[in-house]
Amino acid sequence: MEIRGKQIRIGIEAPSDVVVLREEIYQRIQEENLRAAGVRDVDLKEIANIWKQKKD
Amino acid sequence: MTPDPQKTPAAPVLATIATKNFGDIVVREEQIITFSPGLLGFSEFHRYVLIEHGQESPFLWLQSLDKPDLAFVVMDPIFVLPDYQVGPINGIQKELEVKSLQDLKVLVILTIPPGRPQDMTANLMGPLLINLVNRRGKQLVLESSPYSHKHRVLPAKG
Repeated sequence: MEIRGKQIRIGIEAPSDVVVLREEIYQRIQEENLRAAGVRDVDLKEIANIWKQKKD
Repeated sequence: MTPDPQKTPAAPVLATIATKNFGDIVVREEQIITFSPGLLGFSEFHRYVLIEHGQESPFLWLQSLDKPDLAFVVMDPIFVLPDYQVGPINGIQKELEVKSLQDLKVLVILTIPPGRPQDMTANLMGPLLINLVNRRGKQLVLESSPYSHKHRVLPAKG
């Protein structure tokens, strides 16, 4: 472990490709959550209308 | 846990939350769903309520109680992919203390591109699992699944 100013680094041994893939998936889900959180009331009204038409 | 003698269990605790989409909403304690940790990217916000959009609508709002302008549109994945499976959930079942699988609710978050509602997608890779009995929830990340985080809900207009 090394400490530089306010940064602290902790070394973890793991197969690097596995860790990268996992991180990438988590990153993808996180970004999708952020995009989804921007939803507005009007968006839901619209998709509800589309959904209703689809059913009829 | 030792019961608190100061608390009367029969009286529901009420809280009024000022939301962006619904104005003030009154929430009873037994309606609150706790995600711990919170959703990815929103780990500091833990308490949510599910609000039905309408009788004919399969969509629900997942409204944060800790951040009034934070809300997601969610739905049962059965409407998106009827044979959707989250895979082995022994770990999360234990974590959420799920006693019967009937108590477990699975929801997926929808992303609606502004101005292009037809192109909405469902995040089938990061479903939300909620134990309906103790109302504890968690966002699962399906690391090795065939599902997309951007699965089209409706066919493209052509």
